[in-house]
Amino acid sequence: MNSVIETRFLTKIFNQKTIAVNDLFLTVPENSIYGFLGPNGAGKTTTIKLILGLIRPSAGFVRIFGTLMGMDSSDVRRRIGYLPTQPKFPNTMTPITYLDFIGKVFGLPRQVRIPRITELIRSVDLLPLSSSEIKRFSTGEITRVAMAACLINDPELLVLDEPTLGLDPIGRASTVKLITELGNREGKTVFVSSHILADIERFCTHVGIINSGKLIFDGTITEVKKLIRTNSVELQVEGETGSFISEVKAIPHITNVQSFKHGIKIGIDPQHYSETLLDIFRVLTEKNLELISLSLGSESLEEAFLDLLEEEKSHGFLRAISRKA
Amino acid sequence: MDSYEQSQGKRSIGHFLEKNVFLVLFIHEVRSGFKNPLQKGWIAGILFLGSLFTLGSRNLEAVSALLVLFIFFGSVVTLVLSSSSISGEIDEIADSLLSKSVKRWEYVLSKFTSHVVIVVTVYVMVVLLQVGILWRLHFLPESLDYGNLSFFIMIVGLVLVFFSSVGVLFSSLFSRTVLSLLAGFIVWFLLVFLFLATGWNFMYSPVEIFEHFLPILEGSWDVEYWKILLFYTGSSCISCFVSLLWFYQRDL
Repeated sequence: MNSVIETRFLTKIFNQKTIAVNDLFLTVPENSIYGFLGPNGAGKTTTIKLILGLIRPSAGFVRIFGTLMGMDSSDVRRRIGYLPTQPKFPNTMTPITYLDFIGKVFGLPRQVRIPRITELIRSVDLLPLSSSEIKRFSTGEITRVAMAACLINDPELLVLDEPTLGLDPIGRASTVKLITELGNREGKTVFVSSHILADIERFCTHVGIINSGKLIFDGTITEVKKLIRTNSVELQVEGETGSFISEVKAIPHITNVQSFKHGIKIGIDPQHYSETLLDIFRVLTEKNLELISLSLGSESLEEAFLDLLEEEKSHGFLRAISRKA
Repeated sequence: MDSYEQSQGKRSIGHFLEKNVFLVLFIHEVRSGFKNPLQKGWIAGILFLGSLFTLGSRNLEAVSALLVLFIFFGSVVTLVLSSSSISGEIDEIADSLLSKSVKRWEYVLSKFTSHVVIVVTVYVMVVLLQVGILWRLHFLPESLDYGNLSFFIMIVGLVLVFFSSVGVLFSSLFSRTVLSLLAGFIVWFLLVFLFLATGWNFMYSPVEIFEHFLPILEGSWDVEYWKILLFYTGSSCISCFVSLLWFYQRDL
């Protein structure tokens, strides 16, 4: 699969003091929705600015569509749509005048520009506000104008920096829907940074996790979950649990069984996870117990994310040493 | 040329204007510049004062009074307007534009040219209007050398262009508008106010130039004018060049 964004050794040090991005190796495959996760100050926006050529890397390089990205790579940028965090606009402009201006900047001829502006204004639901000055808009409305502006050139790559930041639940849901739709279109790649894990989990196919400027994970959503799978199952059952627990303990590949006030946690050998799970259900049926709730040993992305950050904190140095070796 | 050819001609010019990113930015900047409330207030104020001078003096003094306003207040207004041109857009619209198909030189050059065009347009229109009225009503002396008057008007115009360029230069050097404004005012203080307050002589100072209004009109001020012209045009060009160089080094 071709990569749309590729960074190698990418490093940014501000004023010889702050390491914002550290030796970043990132590969964003074509037609993927790549979620770029990280806590505040992790280096997400700096990475995006490096990708777009807005800031100069201290070391390393960025390739987009196979072309080296520089400060004047306007031909590459023609194929990119960028949504900044909390976008700003010229005060006196309306959505129509702003989109027309951006369309001209992209060199779109009038015959293409005008119909596209109309279509975009409709699709981001700005029709009633299309001739109002942007300075009076709410955060959600501003994000919608910015989203329209970043789509005006029909980009192959969309770079969205915290698109749901500051939005109310309705605005957030509609933005998530829009991103999902865009990501599903043929020939579009979406690179979206966020620290709202629920959003990323909902629409991304790939995830990169950055912490303190360092990429600590790069892979698919399934891979990230597999990586931190706890290999356990939690059950809440109604009925006589004593004999159930003793029979479960006898099942091969069960590592441990813990009984709590409201449930039973069963540890399973990861090599035999699926078959052992079936054995547990068999015992459950034999004992005629009612299953109230079941929690499989796969964490939410949020837990996975926190685990990875914790692991990075404790093993980051060792990893760095082993990689150099 | 028939109407079809004319429309094709118009279309190709319009098409060229729309395809050229620099021109798109330049036209946008000029439009926004004229919409600026400070610019509007300045134009209204200078037109009002210009008419007062014209009606009051009804001679060459009206022109000199108007030029004084441009040298002392016009330069400040120009500085204020141009000092926020780039620094006021960093982390805001500049990021947005430069993440699109805009090259850095196109962005910086559009700022320079638009500010220069705005300042020169306002200045030339107001001065020409006043001189035109005075000439039409025969309030100007018959012995007046219009060539020398035009030359003087041109030097004052260059002074305004210089302050406009300095403002854009500082706005590209500093990330905060306050700092670029401060730096601009220091230049204005050193070149204008200092010589006004102390009476020191420095031929490149707008104060010194204005003090020789009549000798210049009579052609009797014995200086090498090319040095003055080179000082103002050269400084403006250098400002533009330095801004471009610096802007290519800076992170947004």
